[in-house]
Formats: sequence, C-alpha cells, structure tokens
Amino acid sequence: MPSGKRLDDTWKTDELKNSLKKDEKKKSSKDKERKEDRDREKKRDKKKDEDRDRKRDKERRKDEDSDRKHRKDDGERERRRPKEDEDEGERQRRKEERRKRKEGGESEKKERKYRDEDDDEKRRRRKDETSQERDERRRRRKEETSQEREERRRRRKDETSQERDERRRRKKDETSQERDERRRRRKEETSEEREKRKREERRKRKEDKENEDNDDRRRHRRDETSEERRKRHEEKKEKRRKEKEERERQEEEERRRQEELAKQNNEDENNYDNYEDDFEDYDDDFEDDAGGGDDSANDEQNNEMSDLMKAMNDENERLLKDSRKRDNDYDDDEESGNESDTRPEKSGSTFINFVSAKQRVISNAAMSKTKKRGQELLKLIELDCSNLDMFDMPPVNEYDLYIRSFGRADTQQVYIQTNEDNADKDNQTEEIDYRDKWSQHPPEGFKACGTGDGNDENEISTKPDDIKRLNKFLNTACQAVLTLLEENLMETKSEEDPGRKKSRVVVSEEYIQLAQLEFLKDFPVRYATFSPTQSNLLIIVHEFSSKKEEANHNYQKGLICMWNVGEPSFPQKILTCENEPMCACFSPNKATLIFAGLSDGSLVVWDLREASNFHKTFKDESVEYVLRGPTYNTAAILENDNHYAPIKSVTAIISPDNTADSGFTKNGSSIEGLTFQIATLDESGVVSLWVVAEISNPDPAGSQTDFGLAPGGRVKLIKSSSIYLESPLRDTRLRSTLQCTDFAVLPSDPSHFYVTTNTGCIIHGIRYGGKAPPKAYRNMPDLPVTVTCIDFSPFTEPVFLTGSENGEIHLYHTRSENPLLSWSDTTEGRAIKFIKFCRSRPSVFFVVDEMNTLYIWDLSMLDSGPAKTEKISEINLKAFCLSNDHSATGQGLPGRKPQMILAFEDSVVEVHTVSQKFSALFPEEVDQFAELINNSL
Amino acid sequence: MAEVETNQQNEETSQNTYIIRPSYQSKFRSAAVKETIHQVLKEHLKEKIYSAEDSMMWTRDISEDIKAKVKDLGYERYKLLVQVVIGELRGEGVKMACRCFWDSDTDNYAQDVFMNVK
Repeated sequence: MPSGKRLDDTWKTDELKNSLKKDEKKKSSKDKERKEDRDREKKRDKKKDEDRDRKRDKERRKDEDSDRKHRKDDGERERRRPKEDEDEGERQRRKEERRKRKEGGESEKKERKYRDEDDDEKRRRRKDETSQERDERRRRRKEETSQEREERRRRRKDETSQERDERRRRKKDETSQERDERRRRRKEETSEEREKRKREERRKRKEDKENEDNDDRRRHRRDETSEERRKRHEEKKEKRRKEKEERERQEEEERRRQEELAKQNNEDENNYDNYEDDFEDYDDDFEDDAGGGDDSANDEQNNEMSDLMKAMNDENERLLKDSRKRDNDYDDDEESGNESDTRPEKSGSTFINFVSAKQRVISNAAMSKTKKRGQELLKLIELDCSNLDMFDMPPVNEYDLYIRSFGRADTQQVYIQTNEDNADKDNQTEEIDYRDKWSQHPPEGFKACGTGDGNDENEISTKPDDIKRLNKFLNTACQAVLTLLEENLMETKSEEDPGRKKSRVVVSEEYIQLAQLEFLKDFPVRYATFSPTQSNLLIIVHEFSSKKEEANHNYQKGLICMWNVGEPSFPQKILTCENEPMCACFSPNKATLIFAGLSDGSLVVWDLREASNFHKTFKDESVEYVLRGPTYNTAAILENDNHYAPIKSVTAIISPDNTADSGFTKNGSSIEGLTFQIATLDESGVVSLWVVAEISNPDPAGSQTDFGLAPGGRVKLIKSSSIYLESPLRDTRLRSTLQCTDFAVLPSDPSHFYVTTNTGCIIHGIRYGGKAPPKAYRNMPDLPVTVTCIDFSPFTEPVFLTGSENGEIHLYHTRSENPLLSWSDTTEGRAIKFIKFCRSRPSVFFVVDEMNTLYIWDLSMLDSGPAKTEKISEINLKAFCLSNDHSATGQGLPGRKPQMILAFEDSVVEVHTVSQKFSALFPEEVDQFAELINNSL
Repeated sequence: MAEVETNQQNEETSQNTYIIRPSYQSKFRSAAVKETIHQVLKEHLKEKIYSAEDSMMWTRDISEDIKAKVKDLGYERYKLLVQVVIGELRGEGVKMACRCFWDSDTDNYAQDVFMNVK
C-alpha cells in the first residue's frame, strides 16, 4: 500500500535526482515510479474527491454564487472536452510530455495541470458512474451471475483499457532490479537527507491536507473577498465535517467492496485482473490526493494560505480526533496519513520510522510476485487432498494382556475349565419306580410278553420253574379231586341220583349211564373194555358213521373215548385216529397207554401222559374237547410185516416172569414199556407181537427216521414177530378161508394164545414158536362152525369157554383137545355174541346171544342150563364187558365192586354193578369148580 | 518388558518451479523408501527398550537418518518430510492418520512400522 511517507520519499528523491541530473536512466525510472505512485494515490483519493465533488456540486447548485460556479464548471468542461477526445491516447501523450518535461523541466507545472484536469475528468467520469451506478452495480453484483460480472468487468476494462494496459505494461517493465536499486538508493540516503526529506514531507503534507480539501476553493479564494472567504470558511467547516463522515462511509464501503472482490478472487482465479483493477482504482484515488498535494505544495507559496493555516490546523486536529475516536480500525494508510498530518503540529521534530512500512511494501511486492507465480502454477498443477491411514493398532483385549503378563513363556492357553458348567439342580419329585417287563416273544418260562415286573422277583423264585410240571400236577390233581367229588356225590345221593338207576337187569344192582355227548350221538359203540388193573377206567370204541361228513369234523375217522366210571359226565380222554378202530386195550400195569387195532390193519398207540396242549382242540357248542392224535401209528411203516386185514383183537401180554402185582410195583413207570408185549390178531390169522419202546429223549420237532412217531412222542411200537396161523383142518377146502374171530391168552402162561376161527376149531399157539400138545381144540362132530368168542376163567383152573354161531357153548381145558362140557340149544340156536366168566365166582358165567338175551349160568347150582335168562334190551347190544374183581382174583382195583358194561347200538353205555348174588364168592366154590373140572376130564 | 513402536512417514511436495514434475527416473518410489526406512529403523531400534526420555533423541536421530538416506536415493524436485513416532506398547489402541494436500500424480508417501517385544 502506498503511503504518504513513501510518496514524499519518492518526491524527495525525484527532486534530488532532478537537480543532480545524474542518471538519465534512473530519472526515467523514477518518473515512472512517480507516475505509478501518483496513479495509486489518484486511485485512492478518487473516491474522496468524487464525494467531495459531488457534495460541492450540490452545494454549488444551492449556492448564491451559482454563476461563478457555473462559469468554472463550464471552464472545466471546456478544458476537459478536448481531453476527452484524446482520452485513449492520453497516457501515451502524457508520457511524451513527461519526457519533454524531463528535458525541459519547466513544463512540469503545465503537465501537472493537465493531470489535474485529467483527474478532474476522471473524477467526473466516475461521478457519472458513481453513487447511483455504484449502488446499482453492487446490487447487480449480488444478483448477477459471474458471467454478467465478467461482462461488466470487460466493459469497465474497455473504458479505460488503454490507460490500464499502459499502466500494467509499465508496472511489468519495472523489474525487481529496478526496485532493488531504488531501495538501495534509499538506504544510501543519509539520515540527514531523510530528516530533511521528512521535514519537507511534513510541510508538504500539511499543505496537501489543505489542498486535499480545498482544491476548488483555493481557486475561488483567489478571486473572493475576505468576507466571502470567512463566510465560506464557516460553510467549509460544516462541509468538511460532512465530508469526513461521508469519506468514512465511503471508505467503509470501499473496504467492503474490496472484501467482496477478494472473495470473488478466491472464487474465481480469473477475477484476478479485476482485483488488480480495483487496486488501480484505489491508487488513482491516492494519486489524486497526492496530485492535490503536489498542487498545494506548489501553491503553498501563495501567501494567502498562511493566513488560513491556523484555522485549518485547528480544524484538522479536531477532525482527526473525531476520526480517531470513531475509526480506530482505519487502514494503516489512513492512520499514517493522519499521523503525518498531526505530528508536525504536536512535535515538529519527532522521528518517524518508515522502515517497517517500507518493508511491508517490499514484502507485499514479493508476496504478490509469489502469489502470481503460485497462481500460474496452480493452473498447471492439480493438488488434491488425500487421507491416509498410517497406522492402526487395536487395543489389546484384557485376556491377551492377562496372558501376556501372567502366562508362561512358550506355552499357550488353550482351554479353561471353570466350575460354571457344574450345574446342580434340586428336584422334589418322588423316586422313580422301575419295573421290568418282558418284551420278547416267544415268552421265556412263564413270563409272557408285557407281563412280569420287578416286584415279582420274589414270586418268581417261589414259583415253580417248570410250567409243564405244574400243568401235569394240576391235571392229575384235578382229575383225582374231580373223581373223589363225583364218587362222594354218588354215594351220598345213591337213591335220588337220576344217574344211578335201578337196574332192570337182574344181575346188576344199579347202573350208571355215561353221558351221551352231542358229537358222539351218531357214533355207535363197537367195542368196550375195562382196564384190567384200574377197573374204574374203560374204553369205548366207536364205529365210524358214514352219516357224518368228515369235513365237518375235526376228529378223523376213528374215535375212542376213555372214561372214568366215577366221572360219567365227561370222557377223560378223547382219542382220534385215521381209520376206524376195531378193538382196543389198556396197557397192562398202568392205564397210561391205549392201543387200538384199526380196520386197515394198522396198530396205533396213544400216550395219555402227553400234555393236552400238544393236541388239537375242537370246540362244539361252548364245550371244548381235546382230540388226541395217536402217538405212534404203524400204518405204512412196516410194509411186509404189517397186518393186511382188519385187526380183530389187541391184547397186552404181561411177561410170564412177572405177576401183575409185582410187575406193577417192581418196575415202575419208567421201564413199564419193556415189561409187556402187544399181541394183535387180524382177520386173516396173523398174530403179531409188538414191543412197546419208551423213548427217553423225545424230539418235539419229530423224528426224521421214524415217520410213525408223532412229534414229541415218547412211545413207539417195534414189531418183534409174526405168527401165521394155519388151519388145523386137513380139509384143504376150508384152509384158505381161515378167518379168526377172537383171541385169548392163557392167564397163567401168556406164551400160549388161543384163537377162535371160522373152522370150529380153536387154534392153540405159542409166542416163541414150537408146538403145544393140543394143536387145536375142536368139537367132536368136527363141523366147520364159526366160534365167535372165547374167555378164560380168571381163576387158577386153565379152562376157557367158547361160544359159537350155532349157539353151542363149550368148556375146554387147555390140556384136552375136546371140550369138557358142551351145551347146545340153550340159546335156541341163536348165535352167541359174548361169553364171559364171572370175575368174582369161578362157576358163574354170562352168555349174550344175538337177540340180546343174557343167560346167567351157575355151574355150582345147575350145570345143565342157565340159571337165569333175561332179555336185556330190544336195542342191539354192541359190547359186553366185565371188570376184574380184586377181592376174588387179586386183579383190578381193590374195594371196587365188579362192574359190567352194556353198550348199545344207539351209543348208550350202561355201567352196571354186578349184584351181590353173583359177586359174592363162596369159600368152597373154587374147590367145587376144580372138582367139577377134574371130574369132567 | 517394554516395547518400541515406530511409525513414520515421508511426504514430499513439489517445488515451486516451472519444471513442476520430476523425471520418471527420479520419481518417488514408496517401496524403495520403505525399505530404507525399515533398515534405518532396524539398526536404530533393534535391541532397544522403550524409555520416554531417550525416545525424543531417537526420533530426531532416526528422522535425520532417514531423511539423509532418502535424499541419497536421488529424488530430485521433492521436498521430503519425515515423521517419526515412537510409542510404548502397553495394550492401548493406536490409530494414526494423515491428510496430505498434494499432487497425487507425483507425490507419495512411504511408511514402515517397527515393533519389538522385549
């Protein structure tokens, strides 16, 4: 920023230089400098002047001396007019003039006048623009876009383009060298010179100040009178105050404008020129002032001025004070200007240091240069902002820190166990009940699926382990209890019991009718027999009924029922077989086995010890029957050795060594199978002997070698021998037609057997071969009459009775070929079906003919005919059997009365108790009978 | 147990001449500079234990050393700026960032971190 001080400096140097005229070059540069400075000053003061002019114009207009003013204005205008024409070339011209002046020197004044005029012109130009225009411009600036601003700037540039260009050119021409030179020169100036200069400056400044204010006034003043002057002075005071205020305001405005411009500059680098323009304007203002100063300095010689000095100074001082008070933040230039104004008054000889100001100027210049360069470079270089992350380290977490400070070297903490997971919970529920249940099938032991629990453990130990044994026990015990109960019932209710009927038969005291089962109704009885040892047991063999369709029944072709006499309501065992059974018998010692000969010649055996669950069950109207299949069946097992004709008789033969009693007791059940044989006789005269074998380890899956054995069966039959009977008759006609009807063994010696045939002869055979003395027994007439039945006496005498088709009855002795006694026509020629010795009395026997007539013979009383004859029933009697009497013969169950079975065709079975008359044994009867036999021999 | 952590940064700005860009050969290469920095750091700070008093000296020495070494690399037309920060590793988190106003075509930076655990 140019200052008054510097201005003065330059002026001083100029004068020095001019006077010395040392260096042309320097001088020219100085001129230029001066010119520049002046321009700057002009710019600075321009505004002030403008305002002043404006006011002055106004005032002048108001003034009474408007004439004068008009005149002056006119004159100015006239002066200006030609200049306006040359406006563009003005600068150039001025330069030339200046050069001339340098040469001439005296033309300076004139030149200055020109400049003044120029300034005035400028001022006026500005005035035209100013106030309204400036306001408008400001307003516009705000509103306008940058383009418009550009346009305006350009316009302004055009207005003074020439001038400005020139100025700029000049500035550029000033190199740093020149400036440095100047600076150097300044330094070279001695303090004296400086002092001198300063003093001069001070003086000049004072004058300047005055001139500043009263450019025009001075001119007028010359012509005016003192009164007028005084008057004007007063006016002036007023004016000046106003002007001051006005100036201040303008300065503020100016400052604001500059700030705006600076902003604009920042916004737009291209605005830089404009910025410079503004500076130039400002400089111009100053130059104006300086020019004014110059003028005033020149005019100072005028004596009039000295008169005014005092008043002016007072005025200035006052104004300065005001301004200082009001504007403490004035520009440096302003202040320095003021200081320079005031100081000479206060302390005329005070040293004022301008070095800092100078330096500021220099630095400003340097700065502007740097700035310029920077701006130029900025166009080339693009700078941008970049953010860089230099380093980022997250804070160490607590655990790492802990491990780092307390962990061991070379180890790593991998796992931590705390007690957190060791949870413990209380509960108040009751103890859980555990119980074991069997969950498998098939069940093990007696445990079925889903049964059994932990509480049963004790029970299990107490319970029998073998369910089969329990069943067995229960079966037998139940049977025993049942039997006992029924017997009790019978005994207590003997009279009233409808089951016990008063027998219509003379020989019996009473009889029991076995229950007629629904499904047995249509099966007529074929055969019935008592067990020889257990006389309460009996077998009823039923015929096969063709009326029944097989398919409807589960039982097969053959049916055998085993009854207990004491339990007549239901058969103990129901046995079935594949073919029609012809005859049956019990095992001799104990009634555990039942043998049956079938119509197809096969022999079957049932083991009654087998559990009932081994066999099929058949349900008929809410009653469940167990149908037992045979344990062993010889059918198709033995091809050649088998019977090929219906079996007529099955007999158990107790081995001769054993009596019935001893065999029973000694051998026991386990070896009983080996103590007897089975003899079978078929119709064609073949006697087979079978050994009953007990199997110690039965296979429940069934035997793979013996196909006759049922699965799990424990008894099998092994054929030991066969005897083919031959007809004893020499007549070949009859030999081929031998038919056997009945079979009997000698009770005292079971090796001997006797077979009744259709030849009228009874064939005598021995089991082990060989020949017995009477080969056959025959009736003397030697007629081929079929002998139907044979029965040995149960007593010691080896005699037997035979009944034949023609009604003849013979009593034979085993040693004699011919009968001891023979009775004919006792049955009136009717065929004899059954002939039985009484089991209690040796001399009594029963005969039943085909007309169901029962003949009771008592040889001790009458040996010519039957003692009693009685018609039993109209219904055909199919079976007749007597039980052993233990009291008489030592066989059978002791204490049991001898009983008699009468089985009829309509399947009614009656069990008669033989009356006391025929069962009570006379003590001498055995001897009598023996005597009778001996006599007959 | 003390740790030394160093972080530094070189920053260059172009000089104010009308030859405004460095030649390709003398362009700043951050990888090479980084290597240099690394070596300097290693030789200065290896086997050192952090101490607040000494680290002042260290930073000065290191930055001078780095500046000299990088200058030797021959980056003309660069103004080098070296910043060295030494801190103690005590588990606190550290985050450093810088902001550069530069010509990203030519200007660049290189940094290296040296940490030791003693």
